Amino acid sequence: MFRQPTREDILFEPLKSNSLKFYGFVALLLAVIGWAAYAYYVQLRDGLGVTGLRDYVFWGIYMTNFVFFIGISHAGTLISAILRVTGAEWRRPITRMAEAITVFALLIGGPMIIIDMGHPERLLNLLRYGRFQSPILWDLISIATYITGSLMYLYLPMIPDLAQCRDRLTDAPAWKRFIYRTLALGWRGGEEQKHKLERGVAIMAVLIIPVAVSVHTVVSWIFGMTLRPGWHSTIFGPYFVVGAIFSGIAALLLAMAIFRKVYHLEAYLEDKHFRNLGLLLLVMDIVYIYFTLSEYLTMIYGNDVADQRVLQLLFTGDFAMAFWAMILVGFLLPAFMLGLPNLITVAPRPTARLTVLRPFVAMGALAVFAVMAFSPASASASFQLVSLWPVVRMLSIVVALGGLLWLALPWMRAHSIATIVIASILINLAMWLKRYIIIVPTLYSPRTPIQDVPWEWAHYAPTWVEWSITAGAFAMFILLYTLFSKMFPIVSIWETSGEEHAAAHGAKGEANV
Amino acid sequence: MFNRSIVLIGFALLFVFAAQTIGAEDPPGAKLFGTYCADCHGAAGQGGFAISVGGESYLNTRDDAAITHAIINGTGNKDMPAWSKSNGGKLTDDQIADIVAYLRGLSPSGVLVTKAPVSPVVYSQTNLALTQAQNKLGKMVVTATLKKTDGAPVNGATVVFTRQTTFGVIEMGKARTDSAGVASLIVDEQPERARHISATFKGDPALGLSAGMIELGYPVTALSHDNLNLSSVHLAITDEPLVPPEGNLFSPNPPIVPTAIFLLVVGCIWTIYGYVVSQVVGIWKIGQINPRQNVFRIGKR
Repeated sequence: MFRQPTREDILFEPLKSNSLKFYGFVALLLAVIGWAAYAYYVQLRDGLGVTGLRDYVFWGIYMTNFVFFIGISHAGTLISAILRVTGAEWRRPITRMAEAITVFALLIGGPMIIIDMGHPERLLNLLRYGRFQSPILWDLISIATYITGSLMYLYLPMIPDLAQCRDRLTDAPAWKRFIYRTLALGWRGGEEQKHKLERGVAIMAVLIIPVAVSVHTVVSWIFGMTLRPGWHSTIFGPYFVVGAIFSGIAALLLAMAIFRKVYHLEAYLEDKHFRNLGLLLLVMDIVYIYFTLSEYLTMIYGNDVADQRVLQLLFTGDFAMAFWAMILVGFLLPAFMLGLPNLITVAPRPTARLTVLRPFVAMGALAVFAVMAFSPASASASFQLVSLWPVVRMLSIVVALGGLLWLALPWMRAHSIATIVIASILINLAMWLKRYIIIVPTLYSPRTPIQDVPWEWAHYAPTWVEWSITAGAFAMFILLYTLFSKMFPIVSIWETSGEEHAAAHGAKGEANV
Repeated sequence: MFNRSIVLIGFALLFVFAAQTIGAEDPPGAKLFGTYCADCHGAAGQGGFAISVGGESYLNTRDDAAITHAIINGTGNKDMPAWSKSNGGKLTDDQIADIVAYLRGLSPSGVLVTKAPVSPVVYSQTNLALTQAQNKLGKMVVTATLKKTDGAPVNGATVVFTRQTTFGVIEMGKARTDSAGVASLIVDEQPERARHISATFKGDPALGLSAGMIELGYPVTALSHDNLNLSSVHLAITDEPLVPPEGNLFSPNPPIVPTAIFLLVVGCIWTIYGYVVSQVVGIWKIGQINPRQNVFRIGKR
């Protein structure tokens, strides 16, 4: 059948053929996953002793990964669903990517709990001995509800596109055609079918929002319902939900940038999508900074002995580097990166002199940053012995970073998408760190003081087994997402073709379907 | 912009120098303590992972020589190693002396209380010596022998056995000395690590205060984590974790109303899921009526 080439042809390209690069990429991911599988075999064979987990620190980076993946799973629902419900038309090209992140992040995040268990089969004890009073059981139920709902929410809007795949990709391998044919459910786009689809999507879009909120709230309650310093806090529910949306948007922006580059989707993912989501990310960043400040300031004023120990570990102790890197480079720097190019609209002056000197000035600022950030801690790590050193150190790091930011401003303004992507990477790293420093420092400081145990029992450092499995989890996530994008159109075709249609007729309106 | 950048860098460098001068004002002992000791003993010696060394309970029961000895040679357990350079540690003798001086300065009284007020009558000093042994049941027994300096045993005196913990000093028991001046305590636990037991006789008008400490040693098999000989170690914990009775999610006695609300909410969500699935089934049924007729462009008639 001869047709005029259309914009959506580009969306079918990845589905038609696989390049050598693709196979190489998949092989690399499979190698990482294979290595992780071996690490897990070692852990099953020798027990959790091969990890850094011990009596006191019984949760480590496995749980960090769990919370992290559940967090980015909020990319899908809370962005796609909220934007759908509020009728934000610009969402159309990005909803499918977001919803797919949800499903795959949940598929990876959920099993991290099982990996964290020395006896995986004891997961069944949740059913045999489970109690409705236990947040762990709530977690199981809400995650099961969420993954079912998000699968449906991913699948429903895909039905018309699957029908298109069925009809257009007639020379695809038989198994692929079988999948398209089966999943398309005989969709022909009749009024009755459209009516049922619209009803299903509308219900799911509304229902999935409270379900998603409940999931991350319940994840936070696993921590919050225990009487432990740093966890037992009323703000934890909203704090986790905001953090999840925050990291979810950052993950979505990353996925968008990668797909745009690899699949040449510039016609779909325009600057406005990055700008709009970038602004949403900025708002969530500011809200998250506010929550963080509120949380720690309340802890500081409570002056509880166990809380003080957690704060000491975070501010000046073992976790200070991670904590301050997270705050400065992971939260504050992205806020400026996302906000400054929008705030400062003065045209850049011609600065010929500076162009030559800029690398040197930047290196100077970097040197100051390095000296201050990595110089040995003050001689007295004590709160009681007054020293201005931490303040001075913090100020100079801020000033050096500010200088770098200032120098980078013209570049950032010229490369707004790259800036947003870099900010997203920093935010995702910071949010992973954030989950780590929520979990581990609290376990370092139980209310009943640790005593008379070997040093290793009370301290935690992830071993190669844990890092390998973590790498494998990320590789698995990327692999699933890649395969999905090679199997199904990563941009919703029927939803975006309406936009094209409307634009052609000079009218802003709903999509046809 | 160039000038501003230079000023900015200049400010940052200024901060570096300012910070270095500020950092230099701490007393040498405090600095050393912060670097080498504070990780375990707490920033102000208040204790933490290891015992408190900044409080009266520690400082008032040891003289400078004892503290110095502990730092130079370690206390025998692996978490408090020997610190002096001569023993392979990191500190010179002068530095150790600085630390001891700093610690001494932390105690409000700053003096070592070892002597009771001198009574002019039949006053005599005492000695308290501690030994360890195992009784017939294999339990560790700490024996304190209280004698006057002339070697005569003290009969009927109360000896208090204590342990220093991060909670503070815990009393393990009291015992009265017999005619041989012997009071003993059964340590009804088998820790994996050596621990210190202190015994104190408070003194009375006729006898001076005395105290002693012993590090309980345990059989080598039980001391080393790697060569843990399980048959020789008795722990109070059973081999398998205790499991609660089976009860199919309703054990033991969940609060009725919250559980009902919870189940209602979850049930509603799944019912709505069911309704959405029914819509999907509806789409599928319509599709089966004439599956061969394909509409190429969806949404554009």
